Amino acid sequence: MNLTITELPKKIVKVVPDVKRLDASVAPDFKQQLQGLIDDGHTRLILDLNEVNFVDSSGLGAIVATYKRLKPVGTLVILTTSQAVLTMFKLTRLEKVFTIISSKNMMDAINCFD
Amino acid sequence: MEKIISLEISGKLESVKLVTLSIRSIFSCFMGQVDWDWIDETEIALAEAITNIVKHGYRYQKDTTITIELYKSKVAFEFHLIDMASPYTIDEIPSLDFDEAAIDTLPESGMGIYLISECMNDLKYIREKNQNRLILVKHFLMI
Repeated sequence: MNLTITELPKKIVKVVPDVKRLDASVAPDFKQQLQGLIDDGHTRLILDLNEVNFVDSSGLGAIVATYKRLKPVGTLVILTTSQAVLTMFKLTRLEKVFTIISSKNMMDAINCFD
Repeated sequence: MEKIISLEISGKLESVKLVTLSIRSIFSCFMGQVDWDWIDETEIALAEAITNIVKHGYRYQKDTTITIELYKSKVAFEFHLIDMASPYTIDEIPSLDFDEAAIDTLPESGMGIYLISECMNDLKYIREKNQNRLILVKHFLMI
């Protein structure tokens, strides 16, 4: 799997995975690439999951690991309108932890940053 | 119980989506008894259960198979997941305890069985003829 990276104003980086499913078959690679972004100094991330229609617990675990790594110094905003993806966050109560914007409009996510 | 369909897949992670995508198509024929939220929850439970078999049962062994049988009763659908891995037990459903404000407590793994139990109405395990049979039961809507 690959991540498409786009630099936005305010030093924000938009990250778009090129898969429809973030599951156990791609989660380790997904996590490694996200951590590489942080290692490269990107600390204001928008994870655009609007093209993703399924996340399993491994995919979710990769997002949690990224959040843990980023939280002390940066910000992670998740953008998705997928009901299946939102259901996963609700079932695990992680919707209360993450900033999740249910929109396809990137400006809605950008506005979450200072 | 009426048997609806039986699927056999290779015991590898890449096969999980073949089952869940098939299940989505199959249940689009049962709208009214189920809805899309029902199907989303079923997809989550099946993906977690099959992934667990591949990871923890077969430990990524090659040349393994998993059979998924779908049954329909008067009140529910049953998914039977059959594999030839070592026996296991499901004594209790782990809780998903974490403090939302304490970042170190957020879970990165170990959510599978919890999610299956949240998405299904019942979960049973039978060991028979050197096979594991995990049975996931999900009621129709309005039961």
